[in-house]
Amino acid sequence: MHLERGLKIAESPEAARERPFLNAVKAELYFSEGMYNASASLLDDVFKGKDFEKTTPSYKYFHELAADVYSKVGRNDVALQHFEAFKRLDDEARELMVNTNSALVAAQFDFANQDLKIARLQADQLKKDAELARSRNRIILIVLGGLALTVGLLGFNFLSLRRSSRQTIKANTQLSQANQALETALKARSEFLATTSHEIRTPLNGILGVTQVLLSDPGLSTEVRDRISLMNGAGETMRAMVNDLLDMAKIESGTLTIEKGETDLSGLLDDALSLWTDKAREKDLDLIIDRSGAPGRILEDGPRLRQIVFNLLSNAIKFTEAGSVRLSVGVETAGIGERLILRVTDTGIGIPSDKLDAIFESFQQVDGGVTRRFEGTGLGLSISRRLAEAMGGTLGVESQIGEGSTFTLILPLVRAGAAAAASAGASGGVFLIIEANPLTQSVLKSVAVPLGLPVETTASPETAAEVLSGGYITVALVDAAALGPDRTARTAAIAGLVAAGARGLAVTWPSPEPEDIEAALAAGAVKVIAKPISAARLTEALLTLLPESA
Amino acid sequence: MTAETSDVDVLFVEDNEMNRRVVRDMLGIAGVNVAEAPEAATGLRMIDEGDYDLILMDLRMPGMDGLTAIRHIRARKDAKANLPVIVVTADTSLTIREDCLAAGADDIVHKPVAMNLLFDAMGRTLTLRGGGDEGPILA
Repeated sequence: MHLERGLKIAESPEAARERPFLNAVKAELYFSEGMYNASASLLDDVFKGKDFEKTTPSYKYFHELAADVYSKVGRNDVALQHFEAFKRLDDEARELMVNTNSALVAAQFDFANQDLKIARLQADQLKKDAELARSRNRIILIVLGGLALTVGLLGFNFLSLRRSSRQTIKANTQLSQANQALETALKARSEFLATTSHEIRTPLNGILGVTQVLLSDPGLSTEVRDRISLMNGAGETMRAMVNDLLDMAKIESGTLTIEKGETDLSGLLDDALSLWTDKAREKDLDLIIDRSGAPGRILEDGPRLRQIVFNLLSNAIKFTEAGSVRLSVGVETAGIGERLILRVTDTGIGIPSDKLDAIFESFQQVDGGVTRRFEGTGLGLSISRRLAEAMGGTLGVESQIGEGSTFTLILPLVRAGAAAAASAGASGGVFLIIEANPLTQSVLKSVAVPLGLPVETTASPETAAEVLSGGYITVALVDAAALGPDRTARTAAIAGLVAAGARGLAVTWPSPEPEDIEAALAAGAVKVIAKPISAARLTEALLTLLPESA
Repeated sequence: MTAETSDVDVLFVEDNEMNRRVVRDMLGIAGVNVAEAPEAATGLRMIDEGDYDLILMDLRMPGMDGLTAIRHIRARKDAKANLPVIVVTADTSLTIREDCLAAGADDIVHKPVAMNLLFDAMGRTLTLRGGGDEGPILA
């Protein structure tokens, strides 16, 4: 049934191209049913007009069928032709099979690479496609997007320019308002501090003035002296605090000025030291000054330098319970010019290494906080470092816990004029003034300035012994009136001073008799200076006592 | 040499009584004679009439201030125009020292007064400006 219908289809015009194959199949059917002539007839039709040497492999099976059919019907020549064609196609098929196999093997062998190549090719292709698409899109994007971007950017820039300009204007306005507010606030604070400071100073002047006057009375009992000293110390602390606060305000507002002038370094150090001698004695500390390497007069901001030294000594004494506080001065030549090196070394509690910087910050004490054991504003070191920097120098610290600290102040050193040269050549001694009257003491200090020597003062021949034992006094000056009421007493006192170590002892003597001079010199004085004498003449007389001039 | 400072006559121009008292007591230790004026105008009149070796001048006073008073002294036609003047002030403004020197002051001492600094300023000023060409005479 199916066959019938299939054959019918084969006869239809649409099946024309497939007809040879369908007829070949029909011929095989006839052959298998023994209808050899009908089969041969159909095969004649299938192979009609075909070149047997060029038939395609699809005819191979039909050539084999035809060879069998034609040999059955006795057409052996045609059967042979078909057999040869079949053989040709079979050989070709076999050859093709071999080639296909090797190709298969080769294909298998190269499979991985092929895969890779394919992947690559695909990727390349994809890439090319993508690039193509992209470039196409890009061009469009560039054209359209560029246009949009240009418009957009123009708009954005315009807006942001306007906005940033608005912001700038706003910021500037705010900044200038803030600056004005800050300026006003700083000015208000400065004025407040100045007024407060002025108002605090007046009662302080009363406290400190009266206590100083009381303490100057040598007849005070120790008990009373201690109490007044306590009051005086409290006043001094308060004064220091007011000064510190004012200084800090000046530093912070940038109005701190350094005024360098001719400065008597030794006198300055004495001043700073003298303020701490009582406190050191009270704590039983040795307060040592080593100025063997000190320059004479220098160009520096004296009050500021004194303030730094004062603060360093204050700090050292405050944090030292036992041992000593040593102030040493020297000059170092390194690179260009000279440097003044000032060290304050204590045997105090020391500073932990992680606090070495913090102590130079405002309101810092190593054991700061609620447990502050030490009085003070906590501004001293901070101010000192800022002052040192303003003076072109540095202030640093080295410390060992439990062993002590050394603060080192380094300042550029400029020696002052002719006096500097004179004192630089001097033997480095000290001029000692033995004088009870504070104003006379001060006048004599001024008179002694041209000597270029550091000056020390002491009130009486009795108190002079301690200073003289230091052995560094080059010239000592004492008035005969302080030595005793008459020649005998005075001569004995001179001998006592010389025995105590006074070299270069000069004695001012009101209208001396030749016997007075003789007795004084015999007792060991090197010169008797007759009074009354003008300040200028006294200076001349003292200059002759300097070792170089002698 | 203790005796001659008692020959130094000082005029202290200062409105605050306590401050006057303190300085008077301090100078008393050195045996210095102190005359006092509670206001600048009175001080100037006392300079006219008296004979002082040195003037101590406060700055902030009711009426005429200290700097104006110093300018008046320096503007004098007589020898008193050269009187040594030391300012004693609680003013700590930055330019205070320059302002005082510009007005004609010889030195400046800050309040609260440190006694040694007051004497040093006086000793220096007297040595440089007191007496004749050769400074003060030490009797």
